[in-house]
Formats: sequence, structure tokens, C-alpha cells
Amino acid sequence: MNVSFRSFLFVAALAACSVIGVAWLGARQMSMRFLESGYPIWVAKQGILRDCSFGSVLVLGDSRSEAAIIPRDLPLPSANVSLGGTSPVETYFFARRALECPKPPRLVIYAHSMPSYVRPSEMLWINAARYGYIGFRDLRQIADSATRSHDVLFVNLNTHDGLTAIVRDAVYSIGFPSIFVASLVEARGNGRYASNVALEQKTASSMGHVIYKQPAEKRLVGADADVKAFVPSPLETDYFDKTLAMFAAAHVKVMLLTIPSAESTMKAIPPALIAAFDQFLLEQSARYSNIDARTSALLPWPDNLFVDGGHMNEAGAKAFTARLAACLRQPLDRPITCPLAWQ
Amino acid sequence: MLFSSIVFIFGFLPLTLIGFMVAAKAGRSAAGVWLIAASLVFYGWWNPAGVILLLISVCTNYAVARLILGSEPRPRLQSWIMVSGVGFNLAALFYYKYLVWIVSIAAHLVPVVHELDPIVLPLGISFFSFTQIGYLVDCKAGITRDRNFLNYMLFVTFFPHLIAGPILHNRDIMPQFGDPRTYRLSLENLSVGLSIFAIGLVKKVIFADPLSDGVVSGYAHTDGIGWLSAWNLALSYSLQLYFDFSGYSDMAVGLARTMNVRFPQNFNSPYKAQNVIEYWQRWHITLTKFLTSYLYTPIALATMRWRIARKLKVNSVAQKTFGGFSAMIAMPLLITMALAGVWHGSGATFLIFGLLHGFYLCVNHAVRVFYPGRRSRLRRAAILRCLVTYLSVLLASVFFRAPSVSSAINVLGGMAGWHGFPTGQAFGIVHWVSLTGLFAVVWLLPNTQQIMRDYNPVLGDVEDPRPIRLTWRPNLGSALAVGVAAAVGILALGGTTEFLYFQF
Repeated sequence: MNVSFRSFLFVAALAACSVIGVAWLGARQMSMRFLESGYPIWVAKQGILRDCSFGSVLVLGDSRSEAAIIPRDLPLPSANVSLGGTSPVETYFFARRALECPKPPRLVIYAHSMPSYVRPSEMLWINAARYGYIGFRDLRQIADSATRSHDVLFVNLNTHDGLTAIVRDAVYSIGFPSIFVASLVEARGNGRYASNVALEQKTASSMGHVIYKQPAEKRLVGADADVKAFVPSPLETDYFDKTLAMFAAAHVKVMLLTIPSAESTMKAIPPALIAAFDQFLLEQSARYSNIDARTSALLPWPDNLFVDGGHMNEAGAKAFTARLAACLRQPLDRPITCPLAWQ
Repeated sequence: MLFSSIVFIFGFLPLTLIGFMVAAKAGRSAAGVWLIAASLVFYGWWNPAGVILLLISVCTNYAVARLILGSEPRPRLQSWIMVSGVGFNLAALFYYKYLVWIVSIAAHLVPVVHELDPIVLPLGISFFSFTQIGYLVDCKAGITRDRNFLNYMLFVTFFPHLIAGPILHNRDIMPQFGDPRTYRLSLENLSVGLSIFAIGLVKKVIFADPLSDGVVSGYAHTDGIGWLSAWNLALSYSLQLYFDFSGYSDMAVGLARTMNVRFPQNFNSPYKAQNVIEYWQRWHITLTKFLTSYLYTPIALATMRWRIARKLKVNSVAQKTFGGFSAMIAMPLLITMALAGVWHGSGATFLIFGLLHGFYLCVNHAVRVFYPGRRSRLRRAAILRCLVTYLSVLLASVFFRAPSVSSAINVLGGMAGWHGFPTGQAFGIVHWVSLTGLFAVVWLLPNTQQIMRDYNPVLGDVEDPRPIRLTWRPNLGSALAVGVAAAVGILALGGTTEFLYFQF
């Protein structure tokens, strides 16, 4: 039976709003059921920060440090809240949260790899914003900072969603359900719940260490080799500096560390590029007395200790953490001298 | 701005519609100005500087049109003005679209020539240039009578067709912009238009876009491509192109309809065509009409005049001779289709695509001219003809999509089995079921115009739907279906493929 066009439009709009509303609610309430494996790791690490249960040593960084440092093998109570796909921008917000705790960490190990300083990434939205960790105001602050520092790469970032900057910030911060549909499809709705819950528990019980498994095709040359010239992103540098300044103001000691790369990767990087990166870290840290940059040089480790060109496997992580543990056995108020080079 | 984007659906479209309805109360001119302003915002969303070029083009063409109409008593002068105007449009098109390509070819041949830096191609330049060329030619032919600048601006800039067609003919559209009824709120047109838009959105984001990743990565690595991968790539792209264009055409038709404007049909189930001539009557119909009117017919007429001047026959008997067929049918077709190929993009692949279709059309016409009346009416024969037509189109589409001729040859070689046959299962059963499902939609279901048939969705007649009949009516079932389709389309706007950092 035909209805009036007014009723037709009303019913169609109501149906559309209902479907979108249900999807929105589902995406908000049941993220653990369908989101990718990055999500439970973020949840576990956000839990550590929220509960201020990181102990004396807090590890901040990207996927390299997430894979390489095992908090439970360190001599002091520690947590590794490094996260894959993050850069100094996201790390600033983790650091800010850690410093809101009644008892801040005694030592922060800050370990981002070379590519993190060079190019902004849309993972800022896909992870940090989509997982609800960075909100609209923070995203706008990041955009303003990029504009002020003339970070052309960030301002003109070509994201796969094709959204313009402010719209993207809004869509991700309100958690509009369209940003979850791909995961919902991949997970066939509910298909990731058991594995996600297990991964969250595992990450929480390991205090943030994540074991990286061998991918189907091992690529021995890592992302470092894709960096053609070390030109630090103004935005990343700005947030890196802000983070160091924040720790300096809170009198928290920072150990600036660069996780070693696989030998094959190192061979593919021009020495001048490595020298430029090392120099950048030394110059940035020289402005603050609480920063110890003796461990910031990029070093090669054997290929067999990596799952790819940059991420350590379990054996690599054990070996690396053992070296790190030896440094942390020294009193923390003294300069940290670590023999991190592979012998 | 894309039709299938959050900004468009939640921002631009509602604002434009509300503004149009409010402005319409203030009068026809206010509503027209509002639509022009909205169209310019739509056009300049990504690159505001492009609006200046669009305005220069529109104003220049309008001025030329006025000169053509004003010089009616002096036909020679009128012809010169018309030719200059067409030349202006072609020069702009050449500069933005082909100059870099031609100079790069020259740089390969002549060492003293240096390659040029890329020139940013203004969005939709091919469409608005062709639209305006048609207008100028029609002014000269005395077909165009409407001299209203507002109507002309609307005709060229109206956002539903501005960046990707259909290519409008002034005779179809300008009277609608001159009609006061266009500027009144019509709930019927709003319902019909939004329903068509929702169907188009689903085609674009649910059917076409998920195929994109596989096609992009497939065409990036065509060296030694295996048999199954090559067929998968070609079939996936043919479906992606089909649903993308079909979805876009539906969205354009639907959007225009919400503002009480009916567009011509641009897409009519082309893969159901039983020969290549029919294919071009169903695929990008407005482009075919444009090329026929303004390119093929003038070339064919010029050829006939040339033959008449040499006392050669031009009748159907003459067409059955090799020379007659070559001069009067094959040559105009090949020239037209070669230009149609490069209209789609600069590069040898587009030229080959056009020539290949020109060749198909020549064969098709040759069969009709030399072996008339031998068409079987059996259903089996119809299916076979449809399949042969599809395969011909599929081969040409490899050139249309491939980044280079060598890449296209790799894919075609893979399809022919030159690089070996697979030993294991490739792509998974879900993928093949999805492709089969999409082919079922293509070949078994009625198209959007057929579904909306009772409400005159497009200008002109709509074919009777076969084999399955589905009809839209303003009832609760249709309202629910449209609402759910729109919601599903909106939810899928973010893509259906995960973009992840690591998947350990």
C-alpha cells in the first residue's frame, strides 16, 4: 500500500538512523569483539597508565621497544607502554598521563626508532583516536601545532579515508561507526573476542611486553632503510621536545634509547644518515639535564634475533633486556653506561 | 568533494537542499544563485583555485555563445567565432591533459626536448569542456535559444554532473532550469531522488570500493602474473568499474532529481549488451551521444561529401564494398573511438583501448552490413552473444586500467596462460562467491532506472526489466529498504578493508 511521500521520507530516515544508531552503540560497547589485535594491547597498556601501576621504570616508544624490552626481566618494577604505529606525538599523551599519577616513574626509557621522527602517520587516528585515547581537542591541538611548525607532511597527509583534517578529527573522536566497519567485516562480527581477551590479559600480565612472531615472509631490511634522508618532522620534533620538557619539569630521569636494528637493515642505511639521526637525538637531549643520551646510538644486532629488519624476536628481546637490566642495576642517579653493542 | 563522503552526505547535501528550498521561496533567481554558489563550493572543495579556471571557462564560453547568436546574419563570421570557441576549449583540454604526455613522448624521441613538470588537472575539465563545446556548436546550428546567463551557469556548473558527468545537452537541461516548477519543493522528487542516491551509494561503497585494493595491488605487480590471478584481476576490475560508474551515475541522477531536475540516462546495464554497438548505447550513454553528434557524424558526412564530389556512390550498396565500408564506416569509427580513448586519459593505453573498441565496432558493423538478417532469436544464442561482448570489453578494459602497455600485455599474457597455471587454491572461496554474486547482480537484477521506472527517473524511455522485476513504490517496504540501504552505504564510507599497522 502506498503512503504519502512525507511518510515515506520519515520512515526511510527513521530506518537509516536506527541502523546507524545500533551500529554506533555496538561499536562503542563491543569493540573487544571485533577490533584488530592492536586494540586489546592498547586497552591493557591504557589500564597500566590509568591504574598508575607502572612501577619505577616506564618504557615509552613504538613497536620496536614494545617487542624488545621485557619489563619482568628488569631489576626494578617496570612497565612497557610502547605501542606499535605510534610516534613522539602519541607518546607525549602517554607521558602526560603517567605524570598525572601520584607517584611518577623514577626512570623513563624513551625509545622511538628513526622513522617515527621523520614522517607523520595516519595511525594517529586509526589507533590513538579510534581506540578513544586521544580526543577532539588533542587532535586539534596537534593540527594547530603542525600548522604552526609548517609541517607540510602532516598538513598534507594523504590518508586512505580521504577525509579533510577537521572532519577526520571529528569523525574519529566521536567514534562514528563507519570507522569500525572494516574491522567488523574482517572479524565477521564477533570473531575476535576470545583472542582479543586473551591478548589483553597476556599483555597486562607481561606488563606491556608483546612477543612479535615471525611473519610469513621475513623481510630482513626494516623500515629504517626506507628513510632516504633524515629530515625530522617539525611536528614530531615539537612533541618530542614537549615530552622531554615535561619530564624535566617533573624531575624524572629519561634514558634516551634507540633499539638496535638487524644487521641487514643497518647495511642498507647510509652511515651519514645514521650519524644525522644520532646527532639529532644528542642535540635534542642536550637541552635538558635530566636526559641521559649515552644509549641513543643506533646499533646493529644479528639478523637471527629479529622477526624482520627491526622487531626483535623473543630470543632477541631476552638478550637485549638482559643487557638493559645490567645498566639498571647501577644507581639511577648516576650516568647510565650500557654496553648495548652486540659482541 | 565526493558524493560518497561524510562531508558531502552530512554537510554539503543537507545544507544545499535546505538552502535551495529556502531560496526558492524568495524566487527563481535566488534559488538559481544558491545552486550555483553551492556548486562552486562543491567544485572548489579540494582545490579552491580550480574555481577560477571554471569561471573563466564558463564566462568565456558564454561570451562566445552570445557572439555566435549575435552574428547569425553573417554565417562565415559565425562559423569563425564558433571554431574559435571550440578551439579555446580544446586548447585548455590539451594544455591540462595532454601537453605533458606529448612532450614526454617528444623528449624520448628528440634529445633537446625536456620533459615538463606535471600539470595539475582541473577536476572535470573533460566534462565541462565537452558540455560547452556542444553548446557552442548548437548555438551555431540554431538549436540553442535560451540566452539567460543564470540558466547557462547552472547548466554548466550544476554540481551533480560537474566533475564526472553525465555530459548534458543544453536542449535537455536548460528548459528545466528555465521552468519555475523546478524551484519548488517536491516531496515526490525528493523521495525518488534520495532513493536513487541510496542505491548508487550502495553500488559504489559496498560493491565497487572493496574490489579496489586487490585491483590496485594486482596492477602494480603484473610481472609473470599467473592464469588465475590475471583472470581474477581483469574480472575484478571490470566489476569495480561497472559498479563504480553505475553507482556514480545513479547518485548524480538522484541528486539532480532531489532538486527537481531530470538527467538523461547515462548507464543502462552495459554488460547485458549483445554486441559492442549495443554496449556503447548502454555504457556512458551521454558520451556516446556526444561523440556521435559532434564527431562521428561530421566525419561521416564529410567523407560522404568527399565521395560525392568524386562521383563515388554513398548508398547502402556502396557501403557493401570494401572501399565504401572503409571510408564511410570504418574510418570515422576508428577516428572517433581513438579520440574517445584519449578523452578518458592521456597515454598509449587509452589510445589502444579506444582503437580496440573501434576495431570491435568495425567488426560489428561489418557483420551487420555484409551478413544482414542472420541473428538467431534463441535464448542460448543471446547468452552467447552477451558473453562474447563481455569478453571483448573485458580485454579492452585491461588496457583501460593498466599503468602501461607492457603491464597490460603481462595481464593479457597471464589470462592466456603464458605465465603458467596455478596449482593450489587462490584467493579463497569467499572471494569467488563475492565475484559470482556481483555478476548475478549485473546480469540478473534490473538496473536502477528499471526499479524506479514508474516514477520517470531519467529523461527518455526505460527498458522493460528482465528477467527479474523489482519495482520501487512509495510504500513502507521501499522506505525501509531505502533507509537501510542508505545506512549501510553510510556505514561503509570508511572502507571495508582494514588499514592496520601490524597484523602479527
